[in-house]
Amino acid sequence: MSSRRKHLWVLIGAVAALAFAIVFEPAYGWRLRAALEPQDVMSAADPALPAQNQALEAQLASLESIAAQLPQNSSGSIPAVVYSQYPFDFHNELLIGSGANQGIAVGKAVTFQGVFIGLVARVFSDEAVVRTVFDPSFKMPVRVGSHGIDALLEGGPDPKAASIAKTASVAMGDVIYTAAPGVPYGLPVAAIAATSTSADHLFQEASLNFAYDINTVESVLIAK
Amino acid sequence: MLRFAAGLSLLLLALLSESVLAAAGWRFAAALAVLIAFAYVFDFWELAVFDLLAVFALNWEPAIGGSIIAFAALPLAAYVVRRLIPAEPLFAAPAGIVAGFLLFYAVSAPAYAAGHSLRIFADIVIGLMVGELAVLCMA
Repeated sequence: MSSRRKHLWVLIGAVAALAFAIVFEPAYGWRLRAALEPQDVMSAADPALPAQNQALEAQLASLESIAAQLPQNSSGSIPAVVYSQYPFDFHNELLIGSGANQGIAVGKAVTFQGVFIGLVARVFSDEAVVRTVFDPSFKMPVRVGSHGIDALLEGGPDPKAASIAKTASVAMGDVIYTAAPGVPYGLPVAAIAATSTSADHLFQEASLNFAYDINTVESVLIAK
Repeated sequence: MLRFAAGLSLLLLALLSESVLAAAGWRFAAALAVLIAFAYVFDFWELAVFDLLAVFALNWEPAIGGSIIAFAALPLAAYVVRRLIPAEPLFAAPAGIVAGFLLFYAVSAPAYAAGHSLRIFADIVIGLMVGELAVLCMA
């Protein structure tokens, strides 16, 4: 057998092995991707880090203090690790390591450190896909601040709270929280960063501050 | 064999750079650009190995979604075009990359593509640079 022919058979074998792995053993691919992803490379010597940590802790504390005053979800939750993220730009979805066998169902709320991050979009036997609030197709009714002003959370790389009544009083730092059917009421989502008038001048809309980086989320809780 | 190893290294580098930048919140399709460029350089079975390796690394859920199928099919379609219309890779690859990226967005996320033309333009420009670099490295 010539070396060129041998080379060809090796390639065909590799194609068959890869096709088999893609269809029947995709978890090895997730591991390969996880190995390619950078680990936590932040240095403790970075002077900006303590301040950033403090700011994040303050934001989280603020969110938690509001959450403590809201009705508690007593139904419990299912923990899951995050395996991988949608690789392209036009969706923001996470694959998590719990599925139908662990009691996960489509439409359930997903939280990270008590903060709502998205909804279960698809369920497999031992995995599920979570569509996060950073997905451009994500939309959900929410409420703003202690007065419970109605708004619509519109997802995307920079999510915003839209359709806020023009006369409503919303301020920077007000927390927005969940108020949608099928989702535990009052889960904190984000805080108002700035407000403006919508393009059609009929409503207010607000840009949002998030107390976490979705790209570094490694474990989540799913509402039962 | 050396050329194949070089191509493999380049593809892994593209996948690695995608992962590093994705962790920083910036996603672009470097691996797609490299694969379309490879369609103008490598033989079918070599391209198929690269293509499936990238799909293996990028497929992120148990089911194989539409965007992953489009991702896998476009380099192979570029290879078919290369066989039908032979041309100098340095000039044909950029055309293939532009057409491939537009088709990728049109098939995978038409609504997103309509509202994010600047983002897609930037993706294509980066894809062109990465793809041309891949062709030059393999020449």
